[in-house]
Amino acid sequence: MTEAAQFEAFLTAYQDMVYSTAYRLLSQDAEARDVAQEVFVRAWQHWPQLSASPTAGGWLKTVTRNLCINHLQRYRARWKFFSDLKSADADDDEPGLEATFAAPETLEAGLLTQDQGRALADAMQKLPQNQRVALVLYHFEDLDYVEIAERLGVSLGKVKTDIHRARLALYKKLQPRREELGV
Amino acid sequence: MKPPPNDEDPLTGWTTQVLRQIQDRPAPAGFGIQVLVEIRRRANLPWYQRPWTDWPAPQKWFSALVFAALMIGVFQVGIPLLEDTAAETAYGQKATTAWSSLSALRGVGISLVRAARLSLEQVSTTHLTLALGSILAAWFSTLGLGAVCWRATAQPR
Repeated sequence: MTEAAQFEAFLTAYQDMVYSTAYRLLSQDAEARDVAQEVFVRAWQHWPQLSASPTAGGWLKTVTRNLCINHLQRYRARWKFFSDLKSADADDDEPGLEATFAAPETLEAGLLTQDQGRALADAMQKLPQNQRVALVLYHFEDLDYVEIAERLGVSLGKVKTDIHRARLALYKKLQPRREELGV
Repeated sequence: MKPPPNDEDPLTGWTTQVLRQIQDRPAPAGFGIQVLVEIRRRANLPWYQRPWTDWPAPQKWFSALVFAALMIGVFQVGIPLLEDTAAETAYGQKATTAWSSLSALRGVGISLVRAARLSLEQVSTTHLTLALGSILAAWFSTLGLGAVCWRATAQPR
């Protein structure tokens, strides 16, 4: 198998994972596609080392995550002020969010069908950016709170608050569908 | 470090369980081809349109030499020339004003080189080593002190 054919097989094997990671963080198809493309271009530049590496998947995931965060920080910094205001307003619109969630001892999540999973993914993409990015980094990228705070350049308290609000918002958004979703 | 799943609070555990069930979003149709086309396009770019770090070695070294020569030319020839002509022409005066900061930098550079040469000639090797060691120790102490202060005050908790 030639080097190019090997890379094509590698690309086919990992393209969904890379694109999916980028889309979760950026929530925009065009931006996710651009970042995913850049990830694979870099993979090709490092192909001699990467082709023999058993951790190539982890390398792709890390590069995707870093490029997405850089992208968000570089191109959306000008929106930060306004989006923060907007999300603060949105939070103010839901003063009773914490109160509506009566935390039981345990919460059981049932199995989701494909449609239900899609509905959940849509609900996640509709979260405010600061909440969604922190939530994705914690639950999908396996970073802890301190790592997320360092990577995003925000305080630890803000990360915890954002993630907690995201979970509550997700729970609240899914509540009307809980019966349907089986969660 | 993240807490083990069993130690998570109910809401965190619920979110983890639910989000784990979301499947990967498939890449758009034709994505693979798009990547291969982009790789080929970048590979076909002429060397001067690529980042400097990717230039072929001869071009890279040559450009570094040209840049260094330009800098030396500006400092060693350009500025003295401007200073000489400044008194004679109005243009020279304007140019000298514009380059005054560069002239100051040149002065600093020359002074530093002279001081270093004088030190090497007149100070013993032992004293020089001690002085350099002290400077390095002070440098790293300052860095360490800065890191401690940052951890104590500004690091996110």
